[in-house]
Amino acid sequence: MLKRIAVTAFALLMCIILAAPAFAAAPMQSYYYNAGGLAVSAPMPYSFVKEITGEDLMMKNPETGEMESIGNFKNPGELVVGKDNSIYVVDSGNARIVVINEDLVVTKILSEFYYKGETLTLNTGAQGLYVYEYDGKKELYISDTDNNRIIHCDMDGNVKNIYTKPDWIGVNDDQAFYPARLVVDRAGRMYLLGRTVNRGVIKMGADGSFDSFYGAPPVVYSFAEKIWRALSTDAMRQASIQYVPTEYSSISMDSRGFIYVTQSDLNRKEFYGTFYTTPDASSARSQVAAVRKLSLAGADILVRGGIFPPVGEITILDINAYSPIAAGFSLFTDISITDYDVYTVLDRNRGRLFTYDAEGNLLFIFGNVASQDGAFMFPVAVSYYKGDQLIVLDQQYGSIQVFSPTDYGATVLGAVKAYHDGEYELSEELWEKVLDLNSNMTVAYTGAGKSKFRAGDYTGAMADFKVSQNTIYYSKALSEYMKQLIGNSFSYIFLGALALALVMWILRMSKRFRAFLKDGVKKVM
Amino acid sequence: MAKIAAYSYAHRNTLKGQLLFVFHLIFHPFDGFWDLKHEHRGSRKAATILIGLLVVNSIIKTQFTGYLYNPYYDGISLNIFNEFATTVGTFLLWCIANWSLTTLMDGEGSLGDIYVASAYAMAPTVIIGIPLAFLSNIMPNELADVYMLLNSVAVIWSGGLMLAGTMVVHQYTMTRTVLTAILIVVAMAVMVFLGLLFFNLISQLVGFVISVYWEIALRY
Repeated sequence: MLKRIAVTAFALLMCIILAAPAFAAAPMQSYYYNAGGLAVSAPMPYSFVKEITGEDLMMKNPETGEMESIGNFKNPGELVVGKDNSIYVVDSGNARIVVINEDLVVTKILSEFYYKGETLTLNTGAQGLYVYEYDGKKELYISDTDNNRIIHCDMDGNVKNIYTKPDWIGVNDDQAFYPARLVVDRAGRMYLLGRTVNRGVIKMGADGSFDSFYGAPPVVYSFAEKIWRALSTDAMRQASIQYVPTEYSSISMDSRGFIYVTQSDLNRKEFYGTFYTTPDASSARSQVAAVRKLSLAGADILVRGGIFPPVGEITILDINAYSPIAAGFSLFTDISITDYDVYTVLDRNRGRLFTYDAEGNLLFIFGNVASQDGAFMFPVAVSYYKGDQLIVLDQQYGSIQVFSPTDYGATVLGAVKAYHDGEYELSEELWEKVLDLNSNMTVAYTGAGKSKFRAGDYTGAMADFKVSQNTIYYSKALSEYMKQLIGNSFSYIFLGALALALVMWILRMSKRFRAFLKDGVKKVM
Repeated sequence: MAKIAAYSYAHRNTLKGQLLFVFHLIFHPFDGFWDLKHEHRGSRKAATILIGLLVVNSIIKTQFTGYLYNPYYDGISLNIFNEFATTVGTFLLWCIANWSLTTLMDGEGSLGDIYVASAYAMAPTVIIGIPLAFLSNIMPNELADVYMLLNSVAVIWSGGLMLAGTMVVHQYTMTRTVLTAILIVVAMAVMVFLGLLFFNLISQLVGFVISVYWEIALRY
């Protein structure tokens, strides 16, 4: 009896002790790579707002005038946000394009296209969409991937043009044309990725004629290869590969017309090789171009000035990682760019979103693969939405997840934005606020250091620049500090002392030389 | 000059005098190395102290060089034993390779002579290196060229002294010295290679014996 009471009491006690307090939290912790390449925890930069599924989306039935659900998305492939904040979803499995307005009401579903009296439909598996919004026009370019064509139509589905396989040069004629993601510049030139095409971006004129392959990085020859090339004949040189075979996974255009591409197959050796590069070693770093920003000529102009290049995950096999433990590189599948050159890339491997600023500094990492709100299963597309919000399209769930910046995230983005707009003092203030929220944020130390520098606290500034590994500003602060200590002429004093020593040495040597001329060699060597 | 000579003369057989002889030697290498060997102006004890200073130099360089010239050092990961092993190891490797080759090539120096001469030849590295490490803390980027220059001066000076030392100790001509120096470097590489090979083979052998032991131990 006593034993039973004891057991019951013990059980009750355990109930009290072991009862988990209920709390709501994000599906994972956010983290950040510090200057040592160590993943350190960070505040969540974005919080989950809502999930939009096709079932939730309503559209007015034109006949009855009632609101009806449009039915779930099926394997959606791409998501684009228009200038008026409407969301365009390529609902590939249902062969339709869904247009959702700012209030999350569906305004249009495009599934039939009218071309010279014919009615065209999309094949399932359409992968690309671009919304052309220039000069008051609003037109769609749809990659009808498995029908090997691009449909160029207006918002009512009236086809303006159909672009089929271009007369491309240097590619096997038998190779089929599978247009995937695409962007279109203001002049109507198309830049598209072709499935199975590994020579970069296919650039096509506004009339659909082939222009060139664009943006594939040239092969960098090693010393041995250079010698081999010098010895080989012209014909052999012609036949050798001129470009690194590159199959880009995604293409996006920023508000100024620069094209960003992402690549998901990285070279392991080169990936590790970049870790010990300094931020100014741009050519070494561009070898591992998980993200590229292309100039008009197709050159890579992305700034990789962060402590690590923008390659996503730095620790690629972490046994302490949150489950599921995924090994390997980040596999970037999409990229979205804000007006102030901050970009977010989507990693399909671990379901992460990586945000970098224009200089290539890492700002945020968040996201996870899980079956939970705010987590992904097979994310395929990401886009900025209404300013700094992020929306992510999940192919497997057929849903759109909306994230909005937390206080922390908004402060960091605000600091970057203020710097971009030239409001340096505001930016520095915000960076200091960021440091209050997250002392692991390496980039913030540069901002805080600049603030201290401006206030005349040079030693404090030096300490901050040291943490953020900013040698240029460290040197400036050191210069100012030395000026403060010994007046304006530190360099002159330093060099003067050196010069004095040198002059004395030369005088001594010349004296000895004169003695040598007078007396000759005293001792034979 | 006369003053220094007189001073050195008075102390010529003390350790202090032998150490101070460094300042004569680095400015008058041929004269200096000759005296080092034939007039016993240096000693193995003094040479060992100089090698000790070389280790101290390498430690100070790692630990106290200014952030701008040593940006990837975190301030704590210095391993004194590592610094000691690399510095002394390389130095001894040079001496042994030097001795092994010059014995075959009509060199007149003994291993002791080589050790003393080489240790004295490294003096400029220490004399410039230690103050420079501390000075680099107050040198902003505008003085980076000066830093690089002084560093190169130290290396070239020591290298030149090494050559001069080898030349005088073994009674070689200049051409022959340069040729020998190149061969010494190759010999050092060969020695390292053989060492690694040997180490690898031994470790594989040990690994094999251990695995055989476990195989038998676990079975019976």
